Amino acid sequence: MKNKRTLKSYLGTIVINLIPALYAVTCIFPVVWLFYTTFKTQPEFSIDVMALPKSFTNFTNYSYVLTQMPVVKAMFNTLRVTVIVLFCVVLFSFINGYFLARFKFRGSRVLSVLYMSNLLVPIHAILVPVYIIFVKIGLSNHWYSTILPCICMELTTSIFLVRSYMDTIPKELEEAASIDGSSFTRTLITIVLPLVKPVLVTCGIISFFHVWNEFPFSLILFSNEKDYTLPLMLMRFKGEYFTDYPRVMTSLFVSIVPALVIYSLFSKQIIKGMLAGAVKG
Amino acid sequence: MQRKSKWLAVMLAAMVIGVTACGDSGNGQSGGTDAAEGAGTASPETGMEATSEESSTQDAEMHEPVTLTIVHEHSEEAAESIPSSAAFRYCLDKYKNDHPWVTLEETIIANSDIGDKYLALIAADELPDITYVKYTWLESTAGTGMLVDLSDYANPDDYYDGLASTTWDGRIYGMPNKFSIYNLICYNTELWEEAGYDEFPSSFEEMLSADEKFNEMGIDTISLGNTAKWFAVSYFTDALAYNYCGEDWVNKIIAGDSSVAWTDEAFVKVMQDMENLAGLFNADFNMTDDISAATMYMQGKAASHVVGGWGIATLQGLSEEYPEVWEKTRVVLVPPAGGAEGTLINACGAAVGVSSRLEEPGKEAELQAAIELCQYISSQDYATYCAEHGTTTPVKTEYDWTDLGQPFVDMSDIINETPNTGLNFNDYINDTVKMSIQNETQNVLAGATTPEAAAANIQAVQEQVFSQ
Amino acid sequence: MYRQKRNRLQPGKFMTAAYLLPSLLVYLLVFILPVVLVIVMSFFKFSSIKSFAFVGSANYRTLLADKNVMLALRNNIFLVLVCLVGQLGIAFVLACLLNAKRMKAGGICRTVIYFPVTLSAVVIGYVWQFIYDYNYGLITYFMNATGHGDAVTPLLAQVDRIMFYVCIPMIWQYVGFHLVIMMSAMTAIDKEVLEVAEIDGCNGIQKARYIIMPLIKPTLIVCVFLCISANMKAFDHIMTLTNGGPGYSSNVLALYAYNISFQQFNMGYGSAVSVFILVVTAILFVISRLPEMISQRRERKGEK
Repeated sequence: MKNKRTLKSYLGTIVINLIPALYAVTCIFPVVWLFYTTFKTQPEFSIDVMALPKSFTNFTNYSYVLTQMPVVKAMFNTLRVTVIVLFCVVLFSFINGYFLARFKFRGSRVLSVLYMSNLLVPIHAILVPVYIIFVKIGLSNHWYSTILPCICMELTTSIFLVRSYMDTIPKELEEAASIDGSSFTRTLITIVLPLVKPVLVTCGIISFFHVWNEFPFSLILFSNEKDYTLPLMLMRFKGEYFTDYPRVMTSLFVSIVPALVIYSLFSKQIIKGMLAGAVKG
Repeated sequence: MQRKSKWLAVMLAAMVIGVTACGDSGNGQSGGTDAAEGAGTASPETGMEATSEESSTQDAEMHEPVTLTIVHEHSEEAAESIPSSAAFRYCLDKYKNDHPWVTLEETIIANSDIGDKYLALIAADELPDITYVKYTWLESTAGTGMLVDLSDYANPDDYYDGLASTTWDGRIYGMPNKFSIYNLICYNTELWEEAGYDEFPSSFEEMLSADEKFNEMGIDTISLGNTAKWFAVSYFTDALAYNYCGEDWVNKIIAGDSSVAWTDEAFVKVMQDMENLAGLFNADFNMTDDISAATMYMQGKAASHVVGGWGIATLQGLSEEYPEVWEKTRVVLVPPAGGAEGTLINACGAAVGVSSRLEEPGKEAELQAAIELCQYISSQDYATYCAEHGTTTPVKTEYDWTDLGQPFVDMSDIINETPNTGLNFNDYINDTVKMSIQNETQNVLAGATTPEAAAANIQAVQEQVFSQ
Repeated sequence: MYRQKRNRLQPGKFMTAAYLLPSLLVYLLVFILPVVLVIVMSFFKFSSIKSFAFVGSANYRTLLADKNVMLALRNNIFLVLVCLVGQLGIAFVLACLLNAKRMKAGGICRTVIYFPVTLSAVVIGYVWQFIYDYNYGLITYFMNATGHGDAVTPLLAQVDRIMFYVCIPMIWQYVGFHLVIMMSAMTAIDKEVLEVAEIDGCNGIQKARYIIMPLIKPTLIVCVFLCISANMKAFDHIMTLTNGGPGYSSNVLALYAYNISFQQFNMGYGSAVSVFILVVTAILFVISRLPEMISQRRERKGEK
C-alpha cells in the first residue's frame, strides 16, 4: 500500500512541475527566436523565417541599430519617464487603495467610480483631446509631457489591486497602533506599508512595462528627438513599402533587454516580498 | 532587506537626477548640432542649378538667424531604401548649405505613424512651420486658413498634374514632392514563355486565363501582398474603374456628384473582375506584405509581381540575392479590361506647404525662409536626383534610365507612352469612402462578399458622406 | 441628521482631502476632462478646433445603423468570452500549481511566464505573424512534419475563423499577467488552512475549488474586470496581426474608432464609437457582477 501511494504522489509531483514548466518554455521561445533572428540578414530571413542564422557573429544589425540612432539616449529618456511614473503610481495607488478599502467617506463611491472609468475608455479616443489640452496649457513637447498621462493610465489597475488586497488584511494591527497613540500618517507608513508590499511590487512591475512600451502618447506629445522614448525611436525602422525584419527585430531586442534585466533583478525582491507577506505572525 | 530597498531607492533617485541633468544639457545643444550637420554634408553630386557659394555667404551676413520647424518622415534609414526619401534629404541638406542662418528643427516620424501625428497637429491647430499637404486634408487645413497661399511661388506648368493635388478653391497651397505610379506588372519572361506566351497578355481577360497554365506548373501567376489594404485598390480596382467606367465617371464620383453611383453596372463589373483575380494570387496574399510578395517573385515562386514605380528599385535591391530573375524581368502596364486603352494610375501623394502662423507680423524672415525651403524640396534638383536613382518625381523632367537596367527602361516607356493617366483613389477620394473601398476590395478578394454587395456597401458610405 | 459611523482610525476631512487631492487633481485634468471632451465631441462633426459643427445625435444615428460597428462588437464580445475563459482559466490553474507545496521551481516559472507580458504588442504581433506564416511558420512546419501538409491554409486569411486565431496570441501573452496577480493574492491565504484541508483528505482540485477560489474572490473579480476592459479596448494586437482584415472580419471597436478618427479625419463619429465602447464595457461590468449580487440577495433572504 505504501508503495502505491508514493508512486502516485511521485507522478503527481512530476505533473505539477511539468505543466507550468512546459508553458514557461513556450514563453521563452519568442525571446529566443527574436535573439537569433538578430544575426540574420534580410535575404536570409525571407528564405526561412524559423531557421538558425548562418553565423552567430553577424553583428551588422547591431552596429547599425546602436550607431545610427541615439538608442542609448532614448533608453535614458524611457527610463527617466518610467521611474518617475512608477514612483507616482505606487504612491497614489497606495494612498487611494488604502482609503477606499478602509473608510467610507463622502464621495468615496464617486471617487471609486471615477478611477474605474479608465477601464472603459480606449486610449486613442483621448489622445487628441489630451494633446489639445496640453497645447493650451503649455505641457506638450517637453521631456516630461507623457508622465501625467502615463500615471493616469496606470492608476486604475493599481488602485484596484491595492484595494482588493487591503480587503484581505485585518484591521487589528492598525487599530492596535492607533490605540497606542500612533498618528494616522505614522500608522500608514510603519504598519500598513510593509503589509502591502507584495501588491505594491506587483503594481510596480505591471506599470513598469506598460510605461516602458508606451507609444501613442509619446508619439503625439513629443516633437523633439532628444525627448524620444525607445518605442518611438524604434518605429523608424518600419518602412513605408517594406521592412527589413532582422533590423526591426534587433531594435526590438535591444529595447527588451534592459527592461528584462531590470525585471530579473527585481524578481528576487518580488519572491522575497511575496514570501514575507505569506508569513503571518 | 529594508536597507537593500532603501539603497535601491537612493540609486534610482540618483539615476533620475543624473539622467535629467543629461537631458537638459542635451536639449540646449540641438540647434547647434543641426547647423553643424548641414554645413558638414557633402556637396551635391550633380545639379542642374548651381547655387553660387559667394552669394550665400554674403546673404549670411545680411540675414538674421531664423528657426523653422518641420515634421517629416524621411529619416536616414528611409533614405537608404527609398530614393525619394534620399532626394528629400538631399534637398534639405542643400538648403541648409545655402542658408546657414536658418536652424531647421526636424521632427522625424515613421511613415506608418506620421498620419496620426499630423491629425493631432491639425486638430490642435499646431502645424509646424513647414508642413505636409495632402489632397484629402485640404478641407481641414486650407479651408480653415492654416496654410499659406503659395500661388505666387509655384508654377503649375512645372508639374505633371498641374498642381491639382494641392489646389483648393482656386489657390495653390502646397508644392508636391512625391509622385508615384502604381499599376505595373513585372514578369519573368522565361516562366511566361514556358506557359506559352511570347509576351505578356495585352488584355485583362487574357491575363486571367493564363492562370490555368501556371496552376499546372505549380506556381502563382501574380504575387501580391495586400495586408496594407491599399495595394489591391491602387494596382487593380483603380485602373479597372477607368477602363469600365471612364474618366468622367471617376471625376464625378470623387466630387460626390450624385448622378453616378458605385452601384452602377460598370463598377459592379470592376468588382466582378476583382473577384476573378483572386485566383491568380499567392494563397496568403491578404496576410502578407509587399516585400514578401516581391521576394516570392524573385525566388521564382510566382510568374509575375504587381508593383508600383518604387517597387522596381526594390526588386533591383533584391536582385543581388537573385540575379537570374532580375535579368529576365520585363515591366508592363496592368493590361486594360473591356477593350479600353491603358491607363496609368498615378498620384501626387505628398506635398509641402507653409503654416499660416508665419504670416503673423514680425515673421517675414521666417516666412521667406520657409517658402524657399518648399521651393528647394519641390525643385528641378529634386527631380534630377530622383530621376537618376530610378524613381518618379512630380516635377516634369526627363527620365533616362538606360544605365539602370531593362525594367527601368520599360518603366520610362510606360510613362511616356501610356495614352491615359488616372488618379489613385487612395489619395484623392474622401477618406471615409476610401476606407470602404479598401475593405470591400479585400473582402471581395477573400471571397467573403459578392461584388454586388460590396458595391452597395461603398455606395451606402458615399451617400452618407456626401449628404452631410 | 444622518451620521455615518466613523472608523476610529479614519482621519478628519482635512487630512483625507490632503491625501487624496493630488492624485485626484491630476486624474481630473489629464483623464476626466479629455473624456468629457470626447463625449462632447461625439455630438459634433469635428476635424480641428477651427473646424467643427454641432450635429446633435447624427453620429449616434449613424452608429446604430453602421453594420461594421455591429460586426466589430461581435468580435469584441467573442474576444472577451474566449479570453475570460482562456486567460483566467489557465492563469488560475497555473497559479494553483505554482502555489502547491510540491512545486520546485515556482519562482522561476512565474518570472518566465510573465515574460510575454513585458513585450509590447508589436513584438507579439511579429512573433505570431511569423508563427502563422503560410510558407515558413511554425504551424505550417508542424503540419508538414506530421503529415498533414495538404491541410495547410493561410490561417489569417480565413475570414470565418480569424478571430479565433487572433485570440490565441492574446491569451498566451496575458496569462502571466493574471498569474502574477492571483499568486500575489494567494500569498495572503494562510498555509494552515490548506494543510488542514489536506489532512482532511482534500485533493488538489477540491482545494482549488472550495478553498482557494473563495478566498481570493475579490482579486478574481479584479481580474475579470481587467480582462473584460482590456479585451473591449483591444487594439495593438489586432492592428499588428491583421489590421482588422481581411476586410472587416477581424475588426474590433477600438481599431474601428481609431480608423475613423485618424484615417478619416472624422473625430466626431470616432468619439461616438468610443462612447459606445464605454457604454458596452460598463454594461458588461454590471453583467459580470450579477451572479454575485444574486447570490448575495439569496444569502440575505436565507438569513431572514
